[in-house]
Amino acid sequence: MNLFLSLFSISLSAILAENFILVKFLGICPFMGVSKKSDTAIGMGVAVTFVMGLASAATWAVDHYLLAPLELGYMQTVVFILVIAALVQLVEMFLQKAMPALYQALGIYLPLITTNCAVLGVALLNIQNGYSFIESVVYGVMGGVGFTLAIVLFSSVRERLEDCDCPKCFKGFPIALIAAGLLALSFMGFSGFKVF
Amino acid sequence: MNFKNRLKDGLLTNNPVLGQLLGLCSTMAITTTLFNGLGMGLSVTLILICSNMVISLLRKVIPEKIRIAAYIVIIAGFVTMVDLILKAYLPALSESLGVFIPLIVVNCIILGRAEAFASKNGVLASAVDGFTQGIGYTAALVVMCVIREFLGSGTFGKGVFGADGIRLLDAQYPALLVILPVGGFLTLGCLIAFSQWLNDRMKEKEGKK
Amino acid sequence: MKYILKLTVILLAITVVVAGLLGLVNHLTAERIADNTAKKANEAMQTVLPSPSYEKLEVSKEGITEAYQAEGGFVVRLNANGFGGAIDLMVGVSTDGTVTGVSVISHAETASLGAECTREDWRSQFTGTQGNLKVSKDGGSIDALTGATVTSRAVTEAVNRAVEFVKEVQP
Repeated sequence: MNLFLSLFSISLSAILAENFILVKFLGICPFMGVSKKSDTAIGMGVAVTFVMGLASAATWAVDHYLLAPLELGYMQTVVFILVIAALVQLVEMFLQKAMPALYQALGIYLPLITTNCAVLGVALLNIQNGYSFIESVVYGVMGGVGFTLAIVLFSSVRERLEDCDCPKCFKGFPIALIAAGLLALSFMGFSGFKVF
Repeated sequence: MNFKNRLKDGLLTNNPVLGQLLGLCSTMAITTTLFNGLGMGLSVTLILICSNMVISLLRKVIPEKIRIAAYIVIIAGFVTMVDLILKAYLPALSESLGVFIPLIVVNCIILGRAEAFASKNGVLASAVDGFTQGIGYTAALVVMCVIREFLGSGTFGKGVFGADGIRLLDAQYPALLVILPVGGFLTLGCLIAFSQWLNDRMKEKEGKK
Repeated sequence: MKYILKLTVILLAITVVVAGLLGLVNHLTAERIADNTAKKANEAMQTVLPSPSYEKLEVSKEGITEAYQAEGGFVVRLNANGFGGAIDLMVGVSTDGTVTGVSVISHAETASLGAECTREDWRSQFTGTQGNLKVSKDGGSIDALTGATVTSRAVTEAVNRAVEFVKEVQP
């Protein structure tokens, strides 16, 4: 029961109160880059969620069974980014062989994920927060869900921004940032919101 | 291209943040005080110079197929070194930047410059490129910091000039919003709009000539 | 096949060189980093309850991270459940159950709101109290930080817990 409660609390804060994009500022590049259309945004969101879950599991295991016993904690960043890069490559190859349809849909987003700070961020935060294996995986997946929520919401806003009338110098990227700011403002309402 | 032009390129016309729109995560997340901005900017500049030089040195040795992996390992190595050195000699900075120091690894500016410049040019040119791009990044961060710190906490140089910095606005006036995540998006949006406006105007002037 | 082998060897060589260099840097900085951490904890203990020496106690109570026996009292390290996550606190409590000082080791509170809990003039209102405190909004004596009631409540609650803990361990 206790475990369930703590997992629920982690999920809720990862999706809403500590949303990776809008509160923690992790993964802004893909957020701004692939949010022009709703369907690509959903594709990216699903791919990121998948990789974040896998990466959380893999990096937790590597940290606990390899780095911690050997006292190589300072190698964390190097090892984690290698693990993530290898993982993304593996997922890509696996999808290509096993599920060509899904690969077609997600394929182009996968290489971009390696350099997504949300993925490396979640791996580092898991260790920093001292999460157990299950907590790490839940935090990773739910962080990904939060990422998807933000990017999908934002993409539908952005589709309408295309036709909006705004000062010339704000056209394109700047007005998108302002819209993202307003979205972040609405997510602030969730902060401090906890279940214990 | 001479050094002066390159500096102008990095600072204004092709600024990594305002022009190329790279490295936005850290730009928004840590720019709440001048101390953070300067620390982050200079760390990135140092890493950028080092990684550019090493990658340029190894550009003929690293095969095409594994270049991204090799670049990431080299960059991650330099980032970890800077992380350790900051922890040892500037613990205050290391604490206030937190997870964003290891995250420099995935800062697109560094990988972007490695791919676009260092892998095709000589060592000296790459070092200069690292320096000018790094300074451009630092400048953008500092501008963001000064605006956000002034509007958000009403001070200047918190952490650089004493713990509380120089108070410019009375404590009741600052709009806290600017320091919160929202302010990061809004400030950066306005700043990029301003730089677009400036670039447009410069182009117009050149056109008239 | 030979090509793949070449790729692997080159990548491996780069990784080994990087790892070696990092090991060197780590070796050079490790002592200083450990010193910094220890110094910070020690300074915090000195401010909350000055004492020539601190003796670490075995703690098995949930919610208390560390406890030290000092001259004339105890230093308790514990986490408060703040707005942006855990607030790592040191609380000094004298043998008669009076709070001698509160220090914030680390926190993730909002800048200019909850983060103000590190301010000396705010922390000092705990000094001299006997626990069982409440913030003014809940009818107590502790003035909450402007716009940061959650943080203020969390710290107040943690100070209460520290006092309770000292009462329990007191022989």
